[in-house]
Amino acid sequence: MTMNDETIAAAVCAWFESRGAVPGATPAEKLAVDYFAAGLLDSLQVVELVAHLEQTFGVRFEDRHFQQRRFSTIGGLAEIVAELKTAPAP
Amino acid sequence: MTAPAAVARLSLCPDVLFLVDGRGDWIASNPLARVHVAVSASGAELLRRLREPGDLSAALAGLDGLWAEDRTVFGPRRCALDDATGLSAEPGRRVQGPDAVALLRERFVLLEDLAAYRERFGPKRRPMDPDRFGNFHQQIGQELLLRQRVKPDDWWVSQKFEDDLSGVKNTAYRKVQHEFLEREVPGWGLAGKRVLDVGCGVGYFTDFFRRIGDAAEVLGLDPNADYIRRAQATFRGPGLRFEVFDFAKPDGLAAYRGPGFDLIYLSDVLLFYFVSYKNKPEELAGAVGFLSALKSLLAPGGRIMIMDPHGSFSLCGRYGDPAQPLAVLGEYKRRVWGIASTLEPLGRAVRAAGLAVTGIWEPCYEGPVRDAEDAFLKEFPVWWVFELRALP
Repeated sequence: MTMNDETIAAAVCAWFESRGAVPGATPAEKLAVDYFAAGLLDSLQVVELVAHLEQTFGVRFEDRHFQQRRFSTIGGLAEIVAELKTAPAP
Repeated sequence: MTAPAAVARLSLCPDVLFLVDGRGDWIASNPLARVHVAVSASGAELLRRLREPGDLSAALAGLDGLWAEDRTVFGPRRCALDDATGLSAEPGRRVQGPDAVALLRERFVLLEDLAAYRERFGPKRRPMDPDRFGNFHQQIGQELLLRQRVKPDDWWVSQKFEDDLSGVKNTAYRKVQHEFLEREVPGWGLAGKRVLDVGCGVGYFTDFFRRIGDAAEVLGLDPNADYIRRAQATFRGPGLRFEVFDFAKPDGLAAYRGPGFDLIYLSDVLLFYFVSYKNKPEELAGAVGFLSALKSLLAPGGRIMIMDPHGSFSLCGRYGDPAQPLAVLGEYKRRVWGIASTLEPLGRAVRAAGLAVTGIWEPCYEGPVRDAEDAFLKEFPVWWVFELRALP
């Protein structure tokens, strides 16, 4: 992971932690958390999360991202954001 | 042509139907997944060879000119309801050779594992569940929230009513639901009576019972405080009231006991006790408790009228040809769309609540047929209506 990716991951994790405790003793464990399975978000709160990440990082999620398994973990979400930030403009 | 190395055996999905489009192309259509792929003649031959599970390399032997083209979007606009795979459809994208095979697999025309395919059609067990498509309500919720980025509650009102709530938009809601009530309500003997509209939304039909039915007192209850505020601001008149009510606590209905209501009306409400909604499990016990609480509010001789989506209803069950209204693909026992209850669980809940079904209607559109939707609505009831009365 590059420094930039770590910054993104920390920011995504911080958003979750601002809403309550995220399970896991280490940053790596927190990034692996499936936030739906852990009950950290419901379907309406996903919209807040998506809006926050899009605004914060200047990216736009596409349909395909919502279908990906990694979308459900904090680390996976950070990965998607990092990829969107480095993707060439369409 | 050579097959991708990773794929050994494939079979034609047993749900696939074949149609021919206006250009003479074969369309492999999977109505369950709501996907449609045009294939070349050699593509159709490939699918024929794979009616039984077979080796892809062998099935491709001697086939040239294989192409497939995504035709998944038949509707006027692209949305999750057109495409249960949730994948980004690119109508008109024509791919050749191995890419054509990949498209046919992606669109559930060719399968590697039938059991895994069946497993994918079920209610989502959590938000964004990547392993299950979810029922209609879950799919449309995800579509609205994440793709269209609109609040489902706002969408619900805007697709049903004119912006100023002066009427019902000219959709199935007007052609079937509204016209049924216009025909029937004057005969319901509501003049001077008390009516309770449970799940009244923005209050249009609550006011309707006062205006058309000449009811003396009409109370609209809804859990959505924004809806109630809008109802209170829009519809005013003697005997007309709106209040916020939390349906999660049906015991609270006891507060409305009194002289009793001559009519309790529910439109598109009861279904949510029978289908998974917002990732909650189905709640038959909840339906019984809810109906029992409503029964306790009935005046002597009063009745409950329930208008719910029809149990065999399928939103995407037609292919758009007014001359072929029977080309409808609904569902009953094996629920995938899961829009509403079938008859049996509904009947169990009604009986357990101490009520009896005393009337059933299956309203259809009765006006002139101008398009495919009219033809569909004229032939098939999108809603059914039950009259319930208390058992002695």
